[in-house]
Amino acid sequence: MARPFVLPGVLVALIAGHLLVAVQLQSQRVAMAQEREELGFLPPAAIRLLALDYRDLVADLIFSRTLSFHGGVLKRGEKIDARTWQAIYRRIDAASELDPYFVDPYYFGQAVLTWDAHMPREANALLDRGRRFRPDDWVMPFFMGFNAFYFLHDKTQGAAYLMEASRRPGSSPLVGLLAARLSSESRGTETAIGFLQELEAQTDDPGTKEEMKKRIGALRGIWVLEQAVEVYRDRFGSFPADLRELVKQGVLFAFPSDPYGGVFYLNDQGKVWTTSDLRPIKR
Amino acid sequence: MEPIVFDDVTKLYKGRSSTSQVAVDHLRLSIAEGNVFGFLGPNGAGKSTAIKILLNLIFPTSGQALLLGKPAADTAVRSRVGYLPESPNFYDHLTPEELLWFGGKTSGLRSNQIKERTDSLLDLVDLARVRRQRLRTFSKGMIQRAGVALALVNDPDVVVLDEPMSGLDPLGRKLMADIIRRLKHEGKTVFFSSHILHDVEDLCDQVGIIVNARLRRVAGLADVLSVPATGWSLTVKATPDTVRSHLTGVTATHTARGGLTEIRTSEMDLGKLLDRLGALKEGLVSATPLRPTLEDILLQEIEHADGESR
Amino acid sequence: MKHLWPIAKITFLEGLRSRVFFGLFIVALLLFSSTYTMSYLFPHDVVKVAVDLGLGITSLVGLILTLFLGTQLLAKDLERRTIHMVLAKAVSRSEYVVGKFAGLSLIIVCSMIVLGGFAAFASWTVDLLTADQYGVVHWPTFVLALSMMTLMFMLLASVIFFFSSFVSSTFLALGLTLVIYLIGQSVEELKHFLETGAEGVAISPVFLKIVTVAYYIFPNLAAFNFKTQAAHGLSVSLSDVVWPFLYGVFYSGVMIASAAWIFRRREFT
Repeated sequence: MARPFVLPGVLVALIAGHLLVAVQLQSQRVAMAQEREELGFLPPAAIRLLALDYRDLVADLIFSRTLSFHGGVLKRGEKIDARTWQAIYRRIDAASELDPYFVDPYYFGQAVLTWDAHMPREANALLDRGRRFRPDDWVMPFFMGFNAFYFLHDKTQGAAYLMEASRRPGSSPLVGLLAARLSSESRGTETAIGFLQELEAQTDDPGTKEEMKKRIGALRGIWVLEQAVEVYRDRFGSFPADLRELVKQGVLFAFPSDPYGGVFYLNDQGKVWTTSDLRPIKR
Repeated sequence: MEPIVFDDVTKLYKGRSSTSQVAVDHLRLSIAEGNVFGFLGPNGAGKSTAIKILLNLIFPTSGQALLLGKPAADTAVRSRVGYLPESPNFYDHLTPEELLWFGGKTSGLRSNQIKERTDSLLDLVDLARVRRQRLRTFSKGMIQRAGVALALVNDPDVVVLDEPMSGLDPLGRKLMADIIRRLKHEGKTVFFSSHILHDVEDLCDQVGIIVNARLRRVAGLADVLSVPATGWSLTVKATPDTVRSHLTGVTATHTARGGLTEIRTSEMDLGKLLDRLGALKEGLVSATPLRPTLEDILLQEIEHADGESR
Repeated sequence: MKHLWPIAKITFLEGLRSRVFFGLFIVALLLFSSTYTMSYLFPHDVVKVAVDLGLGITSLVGLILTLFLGTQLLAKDLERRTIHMVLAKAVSRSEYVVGKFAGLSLIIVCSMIVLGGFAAFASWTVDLLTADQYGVVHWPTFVLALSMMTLMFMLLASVIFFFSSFVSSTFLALGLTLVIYLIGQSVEELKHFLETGAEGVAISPVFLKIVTVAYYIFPNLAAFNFKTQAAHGLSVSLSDVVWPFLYGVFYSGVMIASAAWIFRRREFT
């Protein structure tokens, strides 16, 4: 007896079964990937051992995966916690250890580890490799100098790095000027603006340029407010209770706005800062 | 000087335990120049081993093989020798032309000589049409013929063929036989192995029979075949029933063969049988003596050898 | 050694016409085309990544090619007894081994020229389409990296020949050579790692000895890796090149001579 529907039936059942299993497998793979994340990352020495003849390619691969992971998180508007920042740092570090001449991990490290991750020490540890392996690249010590000065509050070290940067080929004359200013002055925000203007001039990527301009704008606002607070203190002998006081009392004509969408405020230590933390605010 | 000499050659293969197997046992044999020598024996008797020793592919445990008066280990002497391996394999992606170029170059031929030899040999083995075609597209018979051309490209004085007829169709066998005859005509010394008696009958001047690693007999072909015929086979155009009715009183067996009937009888009864069949209107198709097959001769040799050793 | 050329030539033709060869080039072409999308994923070192990809793909395809053709050309000769027809000619065992190696080397050199050409073309077009601050191709080191890679594959081929001279199965020869490749690529790193020592890890002196001995027995294939130098245009001194070159020549020489020596004693049943 012919049963013409048996084979198609079996086929349909198998396809349906396969789809079910495939979905399950996918979620299992995702869970496994997260578990692997928990387990951590192979130490660079082990990667070097396993990379065989393809060390440079492995460096590229690790870096590009980190880059796309970071991009994905940003796109989804998720907050990156300290542990994830550590993981990102370890990967950038591994990529740069596999190929210490590779520029991208340094730039990326400088871009995210300092402002976003609050890991200036790690950023400088990473950049130090770039400083050693790329002796003709003035940007590496320049980044380090900036981080030392702005994030680590170490003007002496910052000035030393800047001096080194200014001696390297291709560096802008402004770098030397900044180094000199850093060793003589205490006006932090103003110097930082100088740094950022230099950085902006070095960048060609329109997105990064835009980001730099935003940051410079925010720091300009902070700088204006800092000066106004000084004037206020001279005049009234105390910190203003609220920065709005500055306008009310006629110290400031107009209250600056934060390009990131935050609001400037005076923190416990009498420093001007912004609620945006110099990062775009999701509304 | 004999072109091929086995001087007391013994080959032992060491087994897994302390036992070792004898592949060739004290082989003493020399072949005269211009002779066609058939090396006979069942599979596994040691024919191929002996041939490989001659070509230095295998080294003898004791004794030595000589080619054209030089030890087999002498590389240069092989430029005057042609060899066709048993069921040969060549490089799949080469063409017959390239194969012969290789053979010619390694035998020290000049380019124009190679071209000349290639043209005539590919005609001889009937591969001229496919001279630029890759060997992977060839049938077994064509490969075998390409192998013959390769063996002969250097116009060798000595030609060694290992089972040249095996696996060939009747046409291929005839071509091979013609080539061997031609080589004999040219005065070459030909040494070939076979386990099929028929191959040897028409071609050889001399045969050697090897059984269980030992050379049992070397003789002219006539001597080997002088064993008396054991009987006769007659084929008649008649049904078995008709035949049976005529065969009363004659010791004979008969079998149907597609409309014909084959009758086998002894030498003694042949005359009586023919008388009876004369009465039969249907004609006699064929009558052949039943010669001992090689198998029979070999068995005889084995028995003979066993008797000797006792 | 007067019959080297005929043997080398038929080996070359046999290898060149095999399907493995053709298939791998198609795969290589597909891989090389990925350079155009892949390298632009990187914000700064675009050309560097293009060169990495080009040389990395060349190295991968070259490796597969060497392993497959190497085992196919010699071990298969033994397995299918094609060798009988060669050795029955006035060819010595040493001539056979050296001639075969010469033919295989010729194939390797030719494939590396073609693969390297693909890689160069891909890197060159990326370089052309990209502003100079995203990097440029450093041609002298690029060519150097390709040459040293070629030498490395020839060394690997000699290792295949060495194994094939006493192992009769193609598969086994392939497996052993692959193991040698893996060890050869990482032994230097392992030795360095053990010598400098990892923090909090006690390394037994016996193990260190073993690794040191292994370092001198196995080929140090990492010494032929000039890909980083090529990608970044780092300066390479003469001695950086001369010693690996000599090392490759001598190591291959030892392997081939050993293979010939073993072959001289080998019987072909």
